[in-house]
Amino acid sequence: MQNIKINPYQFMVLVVLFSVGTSILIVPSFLASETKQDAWIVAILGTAIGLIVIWLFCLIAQWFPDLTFVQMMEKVLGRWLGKAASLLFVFMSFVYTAILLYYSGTFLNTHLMPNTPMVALNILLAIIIVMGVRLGLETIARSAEVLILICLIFFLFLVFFISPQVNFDNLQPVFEAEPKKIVQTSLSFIEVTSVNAIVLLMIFPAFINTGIKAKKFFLIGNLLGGIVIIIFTFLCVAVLGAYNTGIELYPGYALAKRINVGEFIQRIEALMGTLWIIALYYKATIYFYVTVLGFAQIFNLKDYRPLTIPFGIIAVVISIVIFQDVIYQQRWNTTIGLIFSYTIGYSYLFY
Amino acid sequence: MELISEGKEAVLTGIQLAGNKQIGSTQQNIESISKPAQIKYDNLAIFKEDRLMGWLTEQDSRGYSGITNSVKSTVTSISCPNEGKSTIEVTNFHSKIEGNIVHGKPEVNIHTKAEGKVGEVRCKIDLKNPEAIQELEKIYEKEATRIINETIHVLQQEYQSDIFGFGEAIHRSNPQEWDQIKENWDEEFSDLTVNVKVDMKIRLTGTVNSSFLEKIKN
Repeated sequence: MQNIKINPYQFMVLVVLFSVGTSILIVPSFLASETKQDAWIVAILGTAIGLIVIWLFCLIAQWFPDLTFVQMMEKVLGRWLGKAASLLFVFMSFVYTAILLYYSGTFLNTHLMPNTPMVALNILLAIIIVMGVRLGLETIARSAEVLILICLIFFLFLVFFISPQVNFDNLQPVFEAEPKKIVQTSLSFIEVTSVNAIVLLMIFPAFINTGIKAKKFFLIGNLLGGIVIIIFTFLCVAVLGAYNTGIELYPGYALAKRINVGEFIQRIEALMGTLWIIALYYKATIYFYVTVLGFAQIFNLKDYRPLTIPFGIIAVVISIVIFQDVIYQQRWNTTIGLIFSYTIGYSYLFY
Repeated sequence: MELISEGKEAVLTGIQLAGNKQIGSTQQNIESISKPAQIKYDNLAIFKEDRLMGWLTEQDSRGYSGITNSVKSTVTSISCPNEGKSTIEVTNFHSKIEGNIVHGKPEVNIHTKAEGKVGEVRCKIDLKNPEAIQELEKIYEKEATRIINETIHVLQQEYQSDIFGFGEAIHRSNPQEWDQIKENWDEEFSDLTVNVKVDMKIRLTGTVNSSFLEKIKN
């Protein structure tokens, strides 16, 4: 179990997919509803601060180059306290797995398959997540390496075809939002893209063949993910306008619907959906992998694989009951989820 | 089935011929694009044994479909908490009828579980607020309960015809008591206590999370 190694490039791909994950479709809406046309500035600020957060994570990793996060915690906090803290960490990761399942379920239910029950959609995604995790980190990383190319092609395709519709009037006046508001909003942004990346400390540096030297790739991966989100936020605001971006649930998808090149290339929003589902799949898989691996390490199990199926079933159930409706979920994201992630993300930095 | 069943009467969909009957029976009818005579679905017909008793109104037909689980999906217009209207898209509607005998008198409980989305909002309501969704759920529950209760009331008072199968429900739950009351079920039916409970869950709000109407000032 400990002999798994992935190379730094594969790790970078995972980081990119992780930070892009949920964000590209959802984050622009949240940013625009808070800061109007300055949303893209928030995205830039958020990415910059996010890099500092990642750098801090790397700093911790440097002290214990061979251990996973759960093992680090046990070493620093002592046996019982360390295990308790790890349990909370694993719990967070597990809840996020379920939340991502919920995201994909509601998205498919709203836009692509309105009459399919959400349970069925969540079970389908959970099956491939469990399958991926059972096959191990190396398989996940290699498949990510292949699929990132597809993502990249789709992404360039969308950016290229939507660019004629960019209207710079939508971005003016610049810096209308108060600086305080910009900083506040960027906190939530950092939560999704960087603070939650603490779960990646389960993979980095222990499972990477060059060890701590892969730090550079962690940072680059996060930066690339940030750039993708900045571009998307910018396009959403510039094409749809700040108000429309703010009230859409999935502005990235609405953006792709606007594509119309010469009355010929149009209605390609399913590409956007595909791109998002791929990225979301890897994010959920990483969360789930961290959950089962962390759980196995806390209880000194030899292998995490027997845990995957029961945990997968529980995740599906949680994903259905966790939020009563989409509005509640949005409120949760900006309040409880924010505090939750920050507590776990930061309190561990200061031990 | 319902013709021979004890404790459930028959219902049929009405079909109406709209337009000119004379032309309708000739070939001429199908030669023009908008046909002079057409067949239309009409309201539901209520039977008692094999006799036609009367016709349900549109609202009562909705109530009937709700009680007997024949709703696959529908849209219902409800009023907003303050003023105006909004529309709920119902994607799942399931009713359970349970019979019971309380103090020697038959009683029926209807428990309905529904799921839906916010389909349209034509009023000022802040959908970004979770409580707004709960308020809409409550209003829907009230509205659905009212429709079902009114339908039952009409059937009890005007037709004394148990089209919902309440008798069957009591037969299933209390077979011994059913033997005694089945002879004069029609009278029992007309003063039967029916408790209706509707449970609505609104899960999605469509592609947007709030309506622009909220921003428009009077």
